[in-house]
Amino acid sequence: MTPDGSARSLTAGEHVWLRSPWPLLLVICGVAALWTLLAGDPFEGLEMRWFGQILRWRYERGIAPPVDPSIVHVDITQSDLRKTPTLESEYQSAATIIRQATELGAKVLAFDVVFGRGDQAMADPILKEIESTRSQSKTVILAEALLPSPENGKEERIRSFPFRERVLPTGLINVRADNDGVLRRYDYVHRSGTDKYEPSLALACYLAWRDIAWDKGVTFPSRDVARWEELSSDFTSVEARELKLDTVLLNYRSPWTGKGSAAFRHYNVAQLDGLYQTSRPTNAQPLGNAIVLISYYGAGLGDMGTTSIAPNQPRVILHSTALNDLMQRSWLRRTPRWIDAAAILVLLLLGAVATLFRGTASLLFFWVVGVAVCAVLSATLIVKAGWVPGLMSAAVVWSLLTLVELGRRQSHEFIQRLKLRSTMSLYFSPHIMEHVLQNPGSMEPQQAELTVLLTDLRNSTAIAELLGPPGMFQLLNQVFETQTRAILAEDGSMEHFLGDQFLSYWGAPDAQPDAADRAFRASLGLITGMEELRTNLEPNLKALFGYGVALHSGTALIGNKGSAQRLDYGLVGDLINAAARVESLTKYYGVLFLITREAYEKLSPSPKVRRIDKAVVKGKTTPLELFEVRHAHSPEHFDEILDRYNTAFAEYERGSFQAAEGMFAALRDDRQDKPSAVMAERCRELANDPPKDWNGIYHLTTK
Amino acid sequence: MGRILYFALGWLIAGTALATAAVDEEKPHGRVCLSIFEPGPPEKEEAFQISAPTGAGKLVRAYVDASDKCSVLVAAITKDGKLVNGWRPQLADVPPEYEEILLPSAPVKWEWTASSAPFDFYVLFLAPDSKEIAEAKKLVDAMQNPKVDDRVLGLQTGKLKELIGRIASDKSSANQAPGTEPEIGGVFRGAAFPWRQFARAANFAADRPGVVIVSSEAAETK
Repeated sequence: MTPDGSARSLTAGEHVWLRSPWPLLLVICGVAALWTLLAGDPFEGLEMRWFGQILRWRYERGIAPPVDPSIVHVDITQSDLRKTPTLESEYQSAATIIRQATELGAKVLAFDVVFGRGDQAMADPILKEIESTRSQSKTVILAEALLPSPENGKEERIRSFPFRERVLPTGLINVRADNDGVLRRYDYVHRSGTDKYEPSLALACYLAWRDIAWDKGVTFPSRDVARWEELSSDFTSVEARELKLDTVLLNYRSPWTGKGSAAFRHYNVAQLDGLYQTSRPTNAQPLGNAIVLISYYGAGLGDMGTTSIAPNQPRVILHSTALNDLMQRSWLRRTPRWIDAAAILVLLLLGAVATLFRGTASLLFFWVVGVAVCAVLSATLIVKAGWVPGLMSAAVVWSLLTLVELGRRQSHEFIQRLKLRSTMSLYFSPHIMEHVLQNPGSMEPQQAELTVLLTDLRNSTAIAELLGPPGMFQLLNQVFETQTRAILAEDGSMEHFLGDQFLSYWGAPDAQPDAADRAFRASLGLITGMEELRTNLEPNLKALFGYGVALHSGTALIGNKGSAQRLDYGLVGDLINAAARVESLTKYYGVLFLITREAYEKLSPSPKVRRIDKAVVKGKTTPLELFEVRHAHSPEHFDEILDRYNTAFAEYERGSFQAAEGMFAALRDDRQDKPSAVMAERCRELANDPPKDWNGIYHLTTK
Repeated sequence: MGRILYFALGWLIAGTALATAAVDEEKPHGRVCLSIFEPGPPEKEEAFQISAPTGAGKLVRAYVDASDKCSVLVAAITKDGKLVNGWRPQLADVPPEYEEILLPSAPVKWEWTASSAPFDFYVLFLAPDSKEIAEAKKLVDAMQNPKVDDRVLGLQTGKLKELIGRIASDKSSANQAPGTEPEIGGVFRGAAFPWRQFARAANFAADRPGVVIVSSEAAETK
């Protein structure tokens, strides 16, 4: 993301929220956990929808646990009702249901029906059958409801046979839907006032099935617990069973119309009658010891509602499911708030692991894994342990954390890029900078094949004396501006401005196949710019104004160098020293622009050049072959000079120093050619003291 | 005497035909015959009828055999959920190849000395791998304790009825034997009781227990 080593200095001063993931992670998890602890799960609706989804999935996959076969529904359907057009016949039919179900072995019959109309005469058949079942130690339970009165808001009892005293036992059919209208929860006991308790229809059925009287067999050791006695699990003694009176989540096994062992048995009235008729010959008891819940079922009949597992379900399924849960001790409970809050805090551990995932893709993958873990763990706890945890909210918080972390990383990277851009703009052309920003790894330290351009201003001391400090800096900045423009136009990178010297290079941080050509074109542009600058100078300054340009190719190390407080991305190696020597030699030979053979051979097409010399510069052992390039400001007779210089240089290389001296001297005198002057003087010296083993390479003694 | 035996034999043949009518003998099945035994001398034994008079020393016994190895649960429970005359239920292994067993096993006796409230006699044939056997055995074993508290015994009986109800309640998962009982059966004195002639049979399988219920209501309605 950032160049190695520079990251620390770049991040210094950056806001802590962006620099590290932990502050945001801690704040989000902390706030979410605290919210959950104090105000409950903020995504409770999502938890409940997921819970319903798990129940549906469990049924559809056929892994829903079986319901107790002792629970049976008798549904009074539309077709049954058509056979009982009057209230009398309807009540008579209810009496028949009681008689038949009892004779088929049922132990408890519960009506999720309130016989609220009629009179004593109509009720008599039912009451007679109820009385008859009592004599057989069987129980009929009638439903009642406590509803707020529309007149005064006080709780009002809706019950059967209001024209006479209550027929006991009864069970309350009060149920309440969640805010989204879904019936998920059940209260086994209705508590009114401080110490008045009434059983729900499900609990009343269960107690009757166990031969436990509500008023004698059930106690309340505390406000939230009901207790009664049952046979111990090893069947050898009596033990207390306690029921917490908090609201439970119903463990729906199947939809009303479901099939298989997870669904309750159903008979309509006609089917019950058929069962009764066929069972008599065998004394069979297909409802042996059963609890039969009788209710209306059909369009426009009875109460319908959406449950966790399916829409349009008769509400009696709440009671049968609650009864089944009570019998199998298999109801579901919502995890306490503190566990949900703890689950959110556990995300901190996930967050710690997530910091190891540096890339966006890997972080997103880890997010998916986290959400999947939440979903699977939640489903497992629901199906296996009977707990409905708040893991969907954990998944939401985890998603939020991931989003925030992605945002933080993007912001952090953006700021880093801005900083990097501002820093790198000192070194690189915009084009190179964009490339580097997209490929941060390209700034890793490396050995690169480079072409360097080094230029230097002549007579800077004299110019400084002439212009004074402000004028000198103004001129220097003009020169550097001109040079920078030429370099950047060819996507060059700048090493540094040092005094009046200026070094730039091509071929790094990313390789440039045409590095030498770019450097060459930049050199020509630089010369053009400098000459334009010269034309605008004052005459006295114009006489002093001069510069040299050198181009050299080779390998060098490149990377960040410096200390933690100050870093520069730049070059290290002999290439730079050699380029500096070549630039110095422009002054020695009196030319504007020199390139080495290493650079020349990379140029395509090859420019017209004059081979100036082949020499070993001071402090070096490897000879450099130097060429003067023809450019727009070269001498007018460059071609003639080139031919005559080449002839003279050939003599010089052969060791014919006197002949060469004559040719160089003639060229010096005819065309005021400065390199010829230098060579003429050298040939004169060599002629006086010819070197042994002359190979055409001269060892310079000055830098 | 000869006329009585001849008359009885005719009824027995008819009764046996009725009793086995609903049984597929190609499939695993069990047979049961309840009898009233009166120790002698001379010993007397006749097929059990709920309407049969009680008497001193009379015992109710159950003869059981089966085509395949199985377990049999025998219990008599009154309509109001109590054990008939305190009779402890029996759960026994039945050997294959129609090798008969006699219940109740000693020291348990089912005395037919006092009349009882209306009741049902449940005989359930359970295949060896039936899922209810373990629970039934645990419960029946617990009920054998003669010193068990009446309240516990009442709860145990309720549990037993719950278990029987669960096994036998669903018509689709139980083989119900016809509910006929011999209207007359001869009294056999001093000779082996030909119980198989009075037996009622039911098929059984791992997921479909065989159920025979002798109900006092049926007797009353006759």
